[in-house]
Amino acid sequence: MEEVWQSIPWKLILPLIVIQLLLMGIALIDIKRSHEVNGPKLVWVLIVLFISMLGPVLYFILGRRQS
Amino acid sequence: MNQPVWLLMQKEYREIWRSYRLIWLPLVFILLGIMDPLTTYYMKDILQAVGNIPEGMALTFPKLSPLEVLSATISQFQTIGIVIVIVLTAMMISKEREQGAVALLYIRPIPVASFIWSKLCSMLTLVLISVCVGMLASTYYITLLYGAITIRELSIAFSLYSIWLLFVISFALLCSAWCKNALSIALSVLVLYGGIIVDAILGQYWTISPWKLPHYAVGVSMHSVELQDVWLSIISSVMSSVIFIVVAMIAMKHKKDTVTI
Repeated sequence: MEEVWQSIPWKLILPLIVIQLLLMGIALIDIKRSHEVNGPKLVWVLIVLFISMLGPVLYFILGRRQS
Repeated sequence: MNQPVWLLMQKEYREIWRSYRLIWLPLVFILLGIMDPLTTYYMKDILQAVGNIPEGMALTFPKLSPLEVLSATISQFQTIGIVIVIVLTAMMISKEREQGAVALLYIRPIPVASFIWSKLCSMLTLVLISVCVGMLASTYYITLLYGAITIRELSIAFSLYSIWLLFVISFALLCSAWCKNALSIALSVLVLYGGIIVDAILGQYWTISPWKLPHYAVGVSMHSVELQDVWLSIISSVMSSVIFIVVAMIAMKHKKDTVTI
């Protein structure tokens, strides 16, 4: 197991993970802060958490309500 | 006359900042940009890990040149990134109209031209920044994994791709000024994205069209295309963009006349 862990090129993949988490984080904070979103908030949280990359994008385009 | 443009632009820029667009769109393009160099480089390992390849099967992968990977990145932008750009632009005016924000425009004496202009400028800035950081991120990974790409090659690719983006954004903006929200999105996705698909299937029969520009963006540096075709495609895209914008202004003005409050 450790061998596999070592063989993964973390230096290269880390930015990918960080950006994913960043997108996810911004979307989640915005869901929490906004008064109302299009559709139930829980569904958006699940979409943002489980669809990588496209989840937050979908929320920003469809779920967000402009004030 | 000059003042409303600046006011409207300030409003638009504030809007793309407040809606987090200035943060998430560049992030998405960075992701798209670094995904392709990584997956193509580690394709062998990925297939061995998850692909159920029989023991002892020999897989040979062609060695890709840095430019070929850059071209793969651009086609990655073309599949997911461009849809996001189209939808965002197509919603710009029509959604505001649905929510009634545009009514302000109809009451106040704001010139229609400066309204369209501010929308175009803000969207173009946003998308160009996103694509620029996406390409830079991609180039960074390509340089690490495959080999160097010169600044000249990168700037040619970026410039040609920006002209394509200008074409996309002005067409989507025209749809947005002209139709209802849902129709605007459907129409612009159908024409622009449909054009990409048609070009991929039947593209060998013609050499000059705005949809060719993403191929030419890297093709110029690979010397696989005629320069004359590239110039003509650039000219045709810029000219049609100008026409789209002018028609968008006319459509907007026409709506202004028919609107009743």
